[in-house]
Amino acid sequence: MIQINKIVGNIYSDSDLHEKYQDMLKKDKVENIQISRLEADRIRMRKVSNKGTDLAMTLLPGSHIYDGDVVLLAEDRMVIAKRETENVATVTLNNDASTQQLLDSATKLGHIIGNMHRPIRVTNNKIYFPIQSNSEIELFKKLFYNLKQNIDIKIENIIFEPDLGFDIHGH
Amino acid sequence: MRSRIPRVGIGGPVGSGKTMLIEQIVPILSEKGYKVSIISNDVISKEDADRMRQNLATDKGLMPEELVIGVATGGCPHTAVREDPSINLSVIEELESKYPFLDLILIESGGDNITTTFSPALADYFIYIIDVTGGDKYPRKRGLGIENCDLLVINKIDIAPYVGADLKIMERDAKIVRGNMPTVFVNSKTGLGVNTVTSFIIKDVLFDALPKPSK
Repeated sequence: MIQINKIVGNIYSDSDLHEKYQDMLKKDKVENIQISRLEADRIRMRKVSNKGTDLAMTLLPGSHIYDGDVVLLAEDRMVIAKRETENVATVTLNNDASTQQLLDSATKLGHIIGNMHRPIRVTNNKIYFPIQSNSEIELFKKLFYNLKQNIDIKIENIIFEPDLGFDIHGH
Repeated sequence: MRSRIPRVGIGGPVGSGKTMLIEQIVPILSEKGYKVSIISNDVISKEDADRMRQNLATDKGLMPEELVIGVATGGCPHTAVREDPSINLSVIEELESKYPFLDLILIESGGDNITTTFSPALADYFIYIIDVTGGDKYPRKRGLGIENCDLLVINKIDIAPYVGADLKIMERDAKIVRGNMPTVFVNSKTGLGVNTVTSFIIKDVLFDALPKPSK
């Protein structure tokens, strides 16, 4: 068992680590641990990599684990955190709608999604929230029925990072 | 600096056996030398905390009475362990200051629905307990608690034949819903299966560490 007290860095934001990652990948020295969205905020957990490395993680309070975080870097191995993807509904607001229509639609969408107690992420006219099963997309389409002129909704299987302070629960 | 004591959250519906599971786990941990405190959340009363204090502290002498703490949440039980765990966190802060020798804190949620989860700020590990009386459909009906807990415990297996619950179906469906995450069948009344639950706690939460020195 190897004790882990801090994240070394991230292969997607640190060019040196990215280079190291590419090098170790070629030498078959890269290992992964799977981290779910709910585990991303945990600071104490035990994880076993896909190659059997046993890790006892005790991170600082407030730590968050991102996709590509380097959990362990040693001569013989590099252990990377792979965030699990999940089904996420993406609602796009129609750019052709008037400002008033967009404002009304966005407010009503927020009300409906909030009533379903979902965490959300909002970027570039898109609202993202996780869904628990494919059948739920039909439910949300019904709930959004009165807004259908101004929105488009689809499902994507992606890593979901809620906006800070909007990581509320499913009820 | 105050040392952080590992914490396990135990949630599940009313009557599923959260309190009795704790009453079985604590003696096993205690026998191995681990020192445990219990925080029991309830909506209005502190009945479960009072019962565990009487049983584990007063009658069995496994822990000082002040280490079993009741919290009356006053609202939806999950709010105190997920949305706003500040009441529980303040109790934990006090425990960590006064009793740094503790190895583990068990946090029992109030009886709640199948979507209970614990805030990662509060619990390092989440056990969700259901029982067979809800029928063998329970695991496949999913819900955040069943899907996301670190350990799913299915209790009261002794009465499965009397309520028409097929344990094989529950095991099969739990595997479909939870993948590689573990499920343990127990009878908290007799202690059957509880050693396995305790082993998961020692391995995944205590990292197989030896108990801390007493004081």
